[in-house]
Amino acid sequence: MKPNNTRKFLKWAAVALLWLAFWQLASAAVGKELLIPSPKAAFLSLKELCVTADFWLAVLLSVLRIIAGYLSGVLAGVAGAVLSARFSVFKAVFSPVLHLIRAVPVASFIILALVWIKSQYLAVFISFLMVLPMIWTTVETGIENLDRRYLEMAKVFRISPLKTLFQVKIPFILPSFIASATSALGFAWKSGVAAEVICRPENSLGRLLQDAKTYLETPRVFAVTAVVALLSLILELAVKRAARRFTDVKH
Amino acid sequence: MLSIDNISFSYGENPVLENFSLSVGDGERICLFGKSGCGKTTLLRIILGLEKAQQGSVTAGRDIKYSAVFQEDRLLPFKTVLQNITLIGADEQTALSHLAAMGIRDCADKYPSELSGGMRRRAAIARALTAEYDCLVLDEPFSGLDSENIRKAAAHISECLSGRTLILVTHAKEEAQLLGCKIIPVEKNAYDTEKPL
Repeated sequence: MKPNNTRKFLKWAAVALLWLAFWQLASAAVGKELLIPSPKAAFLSLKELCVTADFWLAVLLSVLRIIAGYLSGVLAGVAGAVLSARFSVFKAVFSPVLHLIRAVPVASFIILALVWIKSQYLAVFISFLMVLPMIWTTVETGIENLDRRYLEMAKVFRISPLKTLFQVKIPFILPSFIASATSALGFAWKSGVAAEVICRPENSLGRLLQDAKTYLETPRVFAVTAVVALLSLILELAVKRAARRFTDVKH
Repeated sequence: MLSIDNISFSYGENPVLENFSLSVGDGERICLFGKSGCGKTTLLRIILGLEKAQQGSVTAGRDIKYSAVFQEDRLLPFKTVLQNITLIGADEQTALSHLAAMGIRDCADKYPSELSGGMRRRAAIARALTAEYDCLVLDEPFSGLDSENIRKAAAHISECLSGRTLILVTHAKEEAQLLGCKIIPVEKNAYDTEKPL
């Protein structure tokens, strides 16, 4: 490990230990595992979960549902943004829909969607719904704010439309798109798990959480929550790492 | 070759060009000369097809390929100098030879943000010279360059033109003389907030 990375790791480990100590102190002060379980109890509960196939199936299916919703939200958001920037009628029609999605609380959508959609697909739909307006707005703003001077340069030098799209337009929009796509992933993940908690589909992290809460297994609630947070972190790091390949240029 | 007939252009209520006519022959070198805001850059934009004259016409005997140095450098910030030049379809060797002639061969792999204003200007000139063109359009190409670099750049431009047409906009008559341009005064309807090329 490089000295710089070692320093980073030590710093991170020190912060983690500090919060674990704080958690342990809080648990000891309250003195009831039902209210605040100790880190040890949560860890043991997690260990119990990790040896069951059901847990891993729940992890896999939850991740797949949310990723499916996220990716379809990104694709639809980009397509919608391009059409909105190109056709004012399209923008006029869909602008109120985007405002509505942003304004209505996610819980309302979950309850409403539960009427129309099977519980195992609800997380897909809710993740999609959270991601769509974020990506749409970012890309549309990026297209509208493209610096016309560079497009004029491309025109004068007879750069083909396709080359202009990939070499001029997209690189200008990419940094804001990636920032938005990264934060949208966090929203997709949180709202997707929330949808699973409410609709309790088979083999889902949300159901595990809800069941643990129902049976007053607080250490398990903590353990599953830690898994949800860890998965969110891993997915976010994966997106950031992929994004770095595209944006590692000087502006 | 290029005929500009009675063109008029205004930004909103403010007329910039009114019934302006000009004829530029093949291989001719002209300099549009006049005070700030008289419509020189607007005229270049109309010639390049970036603006449409509200009246009059710009006609050419054949399809003319233009190359340009804009009033700003317009180098893509996320591409190196060499990538900016090869983006327009030029091969690397030609691009590098023009960069060398402009004295910035070492900057080929640098990003525009890593260069001084004068270096960026020279990179923009190198890009314009690398392109395939019949008519070279230069809008204040030497702004930010010292006299030594102006002389070198002008000599290289002159050498590269080899019989092709040049339309220059500048405030400095010496620059027009360096490039051997015929001076065309543009005086009518001065307008304060001229749109940059």
